[in-house]
Amino acid sequence: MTGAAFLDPARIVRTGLMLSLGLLAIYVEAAPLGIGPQAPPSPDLLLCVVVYWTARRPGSTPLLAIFGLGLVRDLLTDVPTGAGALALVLAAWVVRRVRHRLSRSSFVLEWLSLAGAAFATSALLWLLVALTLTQPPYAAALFHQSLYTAMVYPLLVLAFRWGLRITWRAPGREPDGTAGFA
Amino acid sequence: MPRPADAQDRALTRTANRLMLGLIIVVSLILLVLWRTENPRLERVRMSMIDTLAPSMSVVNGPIDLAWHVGRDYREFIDVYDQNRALRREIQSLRSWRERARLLEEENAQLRALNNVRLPPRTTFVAGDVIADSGGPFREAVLVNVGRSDQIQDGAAAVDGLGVVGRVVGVGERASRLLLLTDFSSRVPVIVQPGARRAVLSGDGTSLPRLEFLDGGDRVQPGDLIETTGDGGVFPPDLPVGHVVVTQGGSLRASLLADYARLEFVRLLRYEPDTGIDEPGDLVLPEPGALLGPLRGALGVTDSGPDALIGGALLGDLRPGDPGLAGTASN
Repeated sequence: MTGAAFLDPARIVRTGLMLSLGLLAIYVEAAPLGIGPQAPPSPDLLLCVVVYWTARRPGSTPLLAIFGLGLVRDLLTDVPTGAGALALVLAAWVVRRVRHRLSRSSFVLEWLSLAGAAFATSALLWLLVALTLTQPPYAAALFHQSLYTAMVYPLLVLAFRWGLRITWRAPGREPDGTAGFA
Repeated sequence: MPRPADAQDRALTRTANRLMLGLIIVVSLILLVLWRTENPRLERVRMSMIDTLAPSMSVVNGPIDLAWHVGRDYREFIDVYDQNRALRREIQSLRSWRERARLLEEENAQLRALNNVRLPPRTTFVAGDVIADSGGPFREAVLVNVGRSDQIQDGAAAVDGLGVVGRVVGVGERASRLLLLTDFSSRVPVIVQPGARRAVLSGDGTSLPRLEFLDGGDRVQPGDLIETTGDGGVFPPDLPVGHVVVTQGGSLRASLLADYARLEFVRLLRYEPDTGIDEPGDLVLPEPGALLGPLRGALGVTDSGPDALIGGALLGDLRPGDPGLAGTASN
């Protein structure tokens, strides 16, 4: 990455916008709308934001920023610290690798990819918690959370596409992403 | 056609990305280990971050709460007629209970005055808003907007209007973290009434926590009241927790009195357990130099050695001429 791209004001603004939306997603996830085991789990809105932005603006979604958002969420909502952030970063990494294919295919494939990422991150979290010899949550609860995440994704896509005008770019207009910087 | 410089840039970026990913994996695993070992520094970081974000969370929660309540109120509005009738019936029955409670309170106060009863330590509370919940299946916990500045201590009990909600597991300056009774790691010593049978209430991620280590479980009936014991000095005794229920598998569980579905405010209790006497008290020893000069000389008390101290202590309250003094002095 050249120095000009690193200091591109538009990119810095986009990264700031992505971070703000990520923080808002965390707040909405943590809103006390349903408390206790009877309440349905909150969808993983942060994963939706990260997948959408990484697929369309990889240069504005540095891994370090995603890791920071994941850590804030882990600490705020009592997800095992580090595990949630790691799962989020790995999901972003995979999306970055397949984003060219996603941009050429229909929305259904993108939706299925998001659902796959939600289930895969849940499974990774369950595994990491089990490896630390801590009681992992019920698989059914994780399944429901992943399902809600997949269900809410089209709504976020609508909001980002028509509200913020964040759409696919022509191939070659966006660099492959950066290592921790905008 | 891409220039060689562009290809070089991309290769460099990819390498840097891989290095960053490796670093993130290592840091994440270290953080996971710190989380598992309940590292106090990590908890301090968590609480300071919650302190920082709590005001903005309250701002964001405002519109979300409003929309949520509008939806819920609309559903309740549909049933308003039936609810009104039920509430009137309940008010009638509560009025008679109120009079009875007033009479009992007066009688109780008179009896206490007659017996000169020492009242248990007073428990005060601070009410706080629930500003966030864990949201996911990993932890049953909520955040409340009162903290150390309101004299809340780690371990404090939290109740709603009906029963125990949980306990404080992290205190920041302006916010606290509550672990609900339903969480996997929640353990609370309880007592089942009638019969005063002790047990431990263990959360297991369901809405009906288990009753474990129950003393005389075969004599416990469904519907029996579960209260806190006060053991360990964390929770005040006799706080209502729930009622005993028996599952289809025959295990005993607790149906909690606290209404998690409507948990908007909680009371955090400021409880100081009563002072107890754990061991026989030692004698209070005065300084050897504090004894009067003639008495020191007459008794042979010196400034050195444990005997001198014991002698001084024994004689501290004696006066010349006391029966015990001569015997002691002759030693």
